[in-house]
Amino acid sequence: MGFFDNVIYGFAIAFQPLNILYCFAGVLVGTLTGVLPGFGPVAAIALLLPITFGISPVSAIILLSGIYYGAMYGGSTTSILVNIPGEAASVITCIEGYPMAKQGRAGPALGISAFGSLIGGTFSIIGLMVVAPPLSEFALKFGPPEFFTLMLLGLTIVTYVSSGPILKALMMAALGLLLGMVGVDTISGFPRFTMGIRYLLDGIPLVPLVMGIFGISEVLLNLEKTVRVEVYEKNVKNLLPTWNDWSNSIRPIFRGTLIGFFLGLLPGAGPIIASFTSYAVEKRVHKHPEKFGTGMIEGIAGPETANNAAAQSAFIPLLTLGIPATPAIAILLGAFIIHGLRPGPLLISQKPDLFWGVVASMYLGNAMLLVLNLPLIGMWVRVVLVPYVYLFPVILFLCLIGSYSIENNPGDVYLMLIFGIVGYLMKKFRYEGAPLILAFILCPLLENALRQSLIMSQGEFIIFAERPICLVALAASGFLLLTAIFPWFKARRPTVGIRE
Amino acid sequence: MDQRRKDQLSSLFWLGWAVIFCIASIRLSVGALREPGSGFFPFLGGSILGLLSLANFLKNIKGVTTKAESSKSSIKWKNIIVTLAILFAFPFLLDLMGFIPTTFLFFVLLLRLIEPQRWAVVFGGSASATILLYFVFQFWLKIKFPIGFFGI
Repeated sequence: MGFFDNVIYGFAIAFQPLNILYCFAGVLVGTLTGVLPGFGPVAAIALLLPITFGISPVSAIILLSGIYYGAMYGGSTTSILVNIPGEAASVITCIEGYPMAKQGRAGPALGISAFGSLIGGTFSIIGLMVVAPPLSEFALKFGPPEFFTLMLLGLTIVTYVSSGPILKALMMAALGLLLGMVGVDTISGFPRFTMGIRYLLDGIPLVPLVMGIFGISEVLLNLEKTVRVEVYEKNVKNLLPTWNDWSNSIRPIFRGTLIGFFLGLLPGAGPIIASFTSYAVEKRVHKHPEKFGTGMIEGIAGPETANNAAAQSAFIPLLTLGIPATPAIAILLGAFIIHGLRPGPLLISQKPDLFWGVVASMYLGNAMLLVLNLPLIGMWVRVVLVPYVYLFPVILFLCLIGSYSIENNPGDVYLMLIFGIVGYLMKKFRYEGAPLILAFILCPLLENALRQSLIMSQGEFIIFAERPICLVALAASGFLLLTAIFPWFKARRPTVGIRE
Repeated sequence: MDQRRKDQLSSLFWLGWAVIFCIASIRLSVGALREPGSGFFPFLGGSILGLLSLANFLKNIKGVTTKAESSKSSIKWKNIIVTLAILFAFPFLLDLMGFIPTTFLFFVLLLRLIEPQRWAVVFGGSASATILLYFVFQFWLKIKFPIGFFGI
């Protein structure tokens, strides 16, 4: 089938009534996730993962993907209205969004954020459709050494951009790898680190781990103090940006699309880095950079476009190489595997309905998100105003049932609670969860790729230096680590708190 | 406790785990580079965690002391302990009493014990949440829950 036939085929799948419903449910939950501080897309995807077991893989991935990119839209609402980012990729939006709300211009700020997200997301989906098929064909030439080094690069980028010292981020990545090795070794068949507990023979289950580290721990942290939310503008009006707003925003939106698309392609970078980079670029190219921080619409248009563009293009490494670019995408990889799918170079040719159906649903999802985030903004403001004391029991209950319903096993719930306490302590001691989760998910793939590479080379590590892609990926990883460790570079390292 | 002290303690904690992982990996058989055993990769991971923990510990011996973000008195420990107790009791009670009574009790306890709400809000909110969640999970998602001694 030609390109356009595939696109039409994809839309035919996406427009099936059930898939429209799942797409809507996904973007709705995604927006809600973005709006609620302390409950990110990673926990939301993990939470809804068990309920997708009974539906078709295409519908399941449409639903879960919708949560991911939907959260990018919702995150800006709380950043602008209450100065609390709903999720990490909207941290930067607070800087210009909240001052705009204080000036009574929350409407245009929310409006440009939604339109920018739509434009960035749409162009990125076009890029995804154009780039993914040839890239996956090219990736067919990759062997275990290439996959190993690319995954290593992804892991390095995630640790590199984590907030706080890189040593701690690397420690968490190493811990994630070790946790990923618990269970029966797939090659030798020996149980590893199971301590004689039968429950652990299949390894540590993903959903309880993620919900513990990201869901339970965040609620415990919020319960430490009384959270009071103050909304500056409760009746948001004039959502449509003026001509002046558009003329100021159109170039940042264009640049944000490009920045987001290309940074989203890099394993490990994702929407967070894209939004920060876009803000830095806008500040640098503006005639009056000193005005940034006082409510400049350019500082919202660029980053909000970039984070959505990156959220869509982050699917490219997943769908073509099987490499997750962000922790949320890593959970999606887990969802693919649970549904019997193996993302990678063969996915597009073997499962064209899944690839083209999911990609086409993203157009639909973006259009739905515009409607959800503009005319219905009042509804989300009301959600922001719900006191935390009413929200947290629901979040905790969903985590409990989400964990329990995987296999109706109380053991999963206890494991989640243990990881919840671990995650809480990690936050208290300033350790990041994102590198741990990404390493945990990548671990089996990394280990197999490394073992196969060493078997291929008869134990010689030189195999990684003989292949150009490996060499580039290793050099990039080494460079990033050096820039993080040595003082001269250290001051220039962009640190971002990844709390997806 | 200042951040430097926290980093020292946590580094030692992770170092301890790294040693445990390394010892367990050696027992599993590390193998050789040409033929890596099932303990090879865990040994590599454990060694990396150990070295990084050691480096973090040493780095914090001569670091600048920074004040931790929140002081001890500002943390509501009661909220955390009570919440954890309710969470740990949940699976046990679910097995014993079934979905409806456990869910109702779960909401009543959290709404009353963490930031105490009026009884009307507690009972009204818990009952509505229970009914809604029962329909979502039992009827819509068809998740099977244990039948407790009330038979529901």
